[in-house]
Amino acid sequence: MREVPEGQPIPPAGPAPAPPAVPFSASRTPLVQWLLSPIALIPLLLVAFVAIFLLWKSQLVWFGPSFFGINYFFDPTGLQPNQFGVTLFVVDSLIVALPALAIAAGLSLAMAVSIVVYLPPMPGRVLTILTNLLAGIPSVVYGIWGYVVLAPYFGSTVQPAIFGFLGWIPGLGGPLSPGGVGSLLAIFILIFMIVPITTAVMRESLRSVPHDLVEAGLALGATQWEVMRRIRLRVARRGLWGAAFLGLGRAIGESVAVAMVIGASVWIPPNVYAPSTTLASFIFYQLDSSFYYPVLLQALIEFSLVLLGLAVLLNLIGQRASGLGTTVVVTGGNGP
Amino acid sequence: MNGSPIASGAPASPPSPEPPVVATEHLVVRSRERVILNDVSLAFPDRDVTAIIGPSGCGKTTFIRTLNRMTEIGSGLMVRGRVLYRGQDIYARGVNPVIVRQRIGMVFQRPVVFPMSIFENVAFGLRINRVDEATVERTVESCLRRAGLWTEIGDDLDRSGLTLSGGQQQRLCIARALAVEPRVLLMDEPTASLDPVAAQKVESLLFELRQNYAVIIVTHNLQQAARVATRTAFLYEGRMIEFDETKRLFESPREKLTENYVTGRFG
Ligand SMILES: Nc1ncnc2c1ncn2[C@@H]1O[C@H](COP(=O)(O)OP(=O)(O)OP(=O)(O)O)[C@@H](O)[C@H]1O
Ligand SMILES: [Mg+2]
Repeated sequence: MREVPEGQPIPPAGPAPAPPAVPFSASRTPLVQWLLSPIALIPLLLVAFVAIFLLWKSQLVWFGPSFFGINYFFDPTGLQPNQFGVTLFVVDSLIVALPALAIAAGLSLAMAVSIVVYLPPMPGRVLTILTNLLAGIPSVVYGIWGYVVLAPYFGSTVQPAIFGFLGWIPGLGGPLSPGGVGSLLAIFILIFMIVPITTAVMRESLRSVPHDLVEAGLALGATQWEVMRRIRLRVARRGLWGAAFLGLGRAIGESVAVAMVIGASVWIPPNVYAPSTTLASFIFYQLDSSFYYPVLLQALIEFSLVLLGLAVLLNLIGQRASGLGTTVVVTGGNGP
Repeated sequence: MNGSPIASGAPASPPSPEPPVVATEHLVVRSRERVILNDVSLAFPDRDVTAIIGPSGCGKTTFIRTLNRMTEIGSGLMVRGRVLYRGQDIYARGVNPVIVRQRIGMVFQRPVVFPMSIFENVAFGLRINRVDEATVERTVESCLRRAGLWTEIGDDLDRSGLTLSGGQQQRLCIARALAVEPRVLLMDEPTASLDPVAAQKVESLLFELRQNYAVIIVTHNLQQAARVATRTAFLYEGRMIEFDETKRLFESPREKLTENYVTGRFG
């Protein structure tokens, strides 16, 4: 405030204020931002590089007559015509990945709900650490555990039990696979590998539901469960779906552990006990044969391309839905 | 009523004809670090509006949140003393806070509309109590009427509640609280986030509500307290300084602190 001496008239308004010293259009981007900006391109370049490489290397079989057909046939003698169909592998992958995802998503939702509202902080934190730990176990360890420890047990006990109780469901009927390796075991192993990511994303989605909404629900005499069911799950819906897609991407992309327990049969398995294959595990365990058969290598590269496409797609959908890529603002009551 | 301050030490509550519907006795609320409310005893009559005023941070929000056990939701606050709802201690063992909150409803400072239709917002409390559909429809309409919203949006109940204006949202929240049929309505600065016209509508609603409910309203706005509340309590630094008929509290406060506050000398 300027001092206006008493008794004097207030001075007339001065000239219009000077324009700002720095024009509005002036760039004020700091140097460090210029230097760091290209870093944002690195992931893009990496993905593009891999994709271009795969496209280039796979040109032999790409768009071959049966690539999108259900048949897969490989004759190393070269006497038979070689044909490679990716569809079979995608179907086999889904046969393993979808049930694994369904079970993992159910478990994860239950754990996320308990951690967010029911468990006291300490046990909740322990459960979080333990599920995150599952993600840290190298997949080859899961594979060897599945092959050595679980497979015999699955053959002798788990398969007969499931067959006994649920054998009437299509896909769960016989015949059993006595050695224990097969889709069922792969599903079981995959559950462990999916649960960390789905639990983490679901937990954060439920947590990010605005506290205001939760309080308003409780203030109306709702229980925590009713608030969970009617408000939290509803508001977090997108994030929960995102978690499922990320989990599916994880399941479809897993190769080593699945290769070790699935039994490597290239066909559409008659039931869930039978040995089968997946796109990712097939690429992994056929790699050494392809050393001798260039045409097989071409096919594997091409399969990798399909796998890459699937994984990127699922991941992008998952990230978008769960808001991993952006800051999610879930608005509750928006004031005036 | 323009007498001199009564020189009696005891800050007794003014006598009221009916027994209070809600009362606190020696209520103490503390956080890990400090005492937030210190020995607050207040009694709220039924079918009337009581205001709680006081400078920012004096504990008004904390106080009314203890009245329906909202304090215990992840706040880490400890509550001592008693809060009586029609003579029954709501903090006693075996009392279900869910039931307490159905009897003692709450409206927040910022309207909190659920991301659902207007209808489902109001029906929320009924759905959790598995009320039949016909009753739900009847109750939704009557609550929207009582909240003064029916004429504005009665023909458009399937719209998302989030599309309403701020003032409409706040009245929707009031309608939603009424649908649970509470006896007591706690309001924490219900007009603080509204423009004057919307605030005025909510305020005039209070005159309707006082016919049937005990309304306890926290407000920063002294004129509002003077307009709507029969009685007013003044809190200062976690202590209840004075509780009296509003007119008396504003015109001839007994305590120096109250006088300073209501004359705008601080706060
Ligand atoms: N959960 C909590 N844990 C610790 N301290 C708290 C908690 N809730 C409130 N407080 C403290 O208690 C004091 C009173 O807070 P309260 O929100 O009740 O004040 P208020 O009177 O409603 O203020 P305002 O008028 O600004 O809304 C504040 O100092 C606040 O920091
Ligand atoms: Mg407050």
